[in-house]
Amino acid sequence: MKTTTALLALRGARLTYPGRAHAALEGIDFELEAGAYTLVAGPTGSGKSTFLKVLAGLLPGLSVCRLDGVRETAPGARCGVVFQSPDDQLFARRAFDEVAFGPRNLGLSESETGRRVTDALGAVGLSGSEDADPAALSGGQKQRLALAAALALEPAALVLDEPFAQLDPQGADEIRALLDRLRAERGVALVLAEHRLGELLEPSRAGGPQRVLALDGGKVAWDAPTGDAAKYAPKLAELGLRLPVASEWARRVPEAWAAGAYDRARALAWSREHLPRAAAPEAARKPGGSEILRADGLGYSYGGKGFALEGANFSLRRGERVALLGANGSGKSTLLALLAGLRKPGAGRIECAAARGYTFQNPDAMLIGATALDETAFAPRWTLKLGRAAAEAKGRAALEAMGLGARSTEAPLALSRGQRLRLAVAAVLAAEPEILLLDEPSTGQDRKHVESLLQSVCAHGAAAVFSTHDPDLALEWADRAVVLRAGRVVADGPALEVLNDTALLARTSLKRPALLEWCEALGVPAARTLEELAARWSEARA
Amino acid sequence: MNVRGLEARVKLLLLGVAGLWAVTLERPLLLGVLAGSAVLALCLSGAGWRRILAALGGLALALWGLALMQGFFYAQAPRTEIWGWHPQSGWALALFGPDGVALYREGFAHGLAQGLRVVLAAAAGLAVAFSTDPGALLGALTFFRVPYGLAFMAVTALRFGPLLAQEATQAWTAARLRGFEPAPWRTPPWSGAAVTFGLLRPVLAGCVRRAGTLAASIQSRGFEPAKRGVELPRRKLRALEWLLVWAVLSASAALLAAKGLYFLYAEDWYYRTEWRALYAFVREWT
Repeated sequence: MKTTTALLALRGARLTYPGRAHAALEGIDFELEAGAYTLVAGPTGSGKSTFLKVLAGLLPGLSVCRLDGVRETAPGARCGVVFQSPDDQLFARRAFDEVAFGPRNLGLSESETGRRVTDALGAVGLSGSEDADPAALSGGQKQRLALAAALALEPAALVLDEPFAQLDPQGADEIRALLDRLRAERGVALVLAEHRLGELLEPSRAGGPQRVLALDGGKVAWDAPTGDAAKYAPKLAELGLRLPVASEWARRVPEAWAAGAYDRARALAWSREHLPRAAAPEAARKPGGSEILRADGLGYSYGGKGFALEGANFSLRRGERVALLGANGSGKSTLLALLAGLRKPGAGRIECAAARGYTFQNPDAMLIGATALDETAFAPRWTLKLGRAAAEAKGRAALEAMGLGARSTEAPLALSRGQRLRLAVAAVLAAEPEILLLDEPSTGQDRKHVESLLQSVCAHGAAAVFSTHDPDLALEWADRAVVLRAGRVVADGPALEVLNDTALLARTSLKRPALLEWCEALGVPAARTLEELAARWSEARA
Repeated sequence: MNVRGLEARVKLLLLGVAGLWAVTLERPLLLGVLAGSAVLALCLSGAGWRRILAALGGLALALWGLALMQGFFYAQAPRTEIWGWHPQSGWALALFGPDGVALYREGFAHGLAQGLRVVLAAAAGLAVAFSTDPGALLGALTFFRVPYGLAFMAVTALRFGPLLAQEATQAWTAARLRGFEPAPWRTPPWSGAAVTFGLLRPVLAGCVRRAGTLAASIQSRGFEPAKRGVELPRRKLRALEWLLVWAVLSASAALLAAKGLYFLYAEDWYYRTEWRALYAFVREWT
């Protein structure tokens, strides 16, 4: 057997589930050295989570499956694991007990356990929170607590499965910085699966992954260092993954891509040398139709515990697309729930004669049908009071519109994550609402899925209001952006103006879209999409 | 001393004793006093008033349902009719027979006792679940030699119970938003039942997903269901808690002894004339 200095290694790993025709993982060779940082990339369903569980030694064991090949661990090396949703990992009512769970399982004394808890909470910036109820912490704090619970085992490696997915930009930045610090100060090796590649591969960041391992269909598509974008950018693009904005820009300018302008420095240099600096006007905003919803002075409090929403005004025009932005707990979901009629406002009033549809942040909660067609025929049958045949016809049309026509007989909960979200939206759109309200449709979805969903929604023609933590998504897809802070609407205006207001963004813990940063670096007027920017320059060159 | 401040082991002991008394005692009056105490403990558990009201509603329904059911279907003698309906002719006579439908005092009392037993045990259990920190409960369960894996499962079930209720509510709301009207006069019962059954799908899927993530998380933190020797911290009992422990244990021992002696007397196995007062007390009061 080959000897290794690696902390963790997989050699020829193959994982199969009984009754499945294809292996979930196939021919995986991977080594993790002490202090190394690897980013695991791949489209949804490519096997990232399975790979991480096998690497951490959780599979086989958690499920009935068969693992062939070799998994090696350096003597005494322990592996900590952190998942996407902190709410599903935390079970204690005291932060201390949550973090102490691991050390106690190791049979450590209470004094040693106490030392480790103090150390781990300190490392994640939660010193003094020993008695806090985890349920009462913010999203970012919960994820930090989950990290502390893993760190209390004093692991040599941390395996993280999309740890930023449910966090606002500030929370995600905090966790990214914390991971960099843990690696620098404690030498903890990191393996991280993530959809938001742009922020991790941005060369302006200190630290960050040293290597990208791309999975596709359960196999390693390629494995390259992050130092040279030329080695990974074209391949990530081939897998349909979103690159850092500079690389994405170069992809849309064929000459730049052909010249190898894959990373920020090269793309910037190439652009300055080859492209004309035309001061093209900003794209005109799509004018909205007549007003179909108006809310004045909305207020709401949960069980009298302070205001989740206070004095909020909101209006919506026919066919308009509005993004709700704000940090975790700023009142986005509460505002959406009030607009949808899910909750009665404690103060203020809503005037709306238009039919409204609403999708939850977790689309699975909506999927109650035996088949995808049952799901989309549900609303036509119950809301529009159509007969079975007519309801099914509407249901089929909604499935086709969302690109799910071939899935009509499949069980909804057996579909992939992106398909489940599209199905939930199709089920709502089948009732032909004039307003569609979407609560964080981008959570846990890769960018391609979200864009495909929003394209379908736009094609439907309904006015859409969606909450999101992704400022680039808001810039590209929304006509208007509404920013909330501590339950109050602090900005409401054209998406481009609001998202370019750096003072406002700093005050509300939001990030400026990477595209606007890129436009500034290029010295050109702000654009809402890369396509728009590329088209403007093509025109200027012509 | 409030319920929340009691040490978890004391609460578990009280819960066990409540269960013992619930199966040993027969008199509705004494069962009623004990069930009332358990309900008081539930109200003082520190849980939100919505949860407490929901629990009290469920307990009241169980009590009333058991009492009525036994009252109507009591078949032993003697029995005293409180209310009755005796059809003389027609379809009612064919369907119910000449005895018709009647509510019997002895059956109602028997059902009341059964219901109070359920209320006593369930209210005590809910009071413990609502007022105890999961970590402390885990420590207490392992102190009483409950296997570690089983104890952890019980504790996490309590922790995630409210989340499941929230997911079920969300699924229900989503169906209502898409036009589902559960009113029986608007919906054929079979359609409503099919939709209601369908609501279980996302809830079960959520359970499986959450259980999978939690299992992976705790396994990565060294948890093994069959593990022995995991020492969990427990605080020392206060003087008042010791007093409570000894009081309930002594009362339980005395009750078991008295019941045992009465059983020997009732079965004609052992009898002493000087214990007649004890036999009378057990018969009349317990």
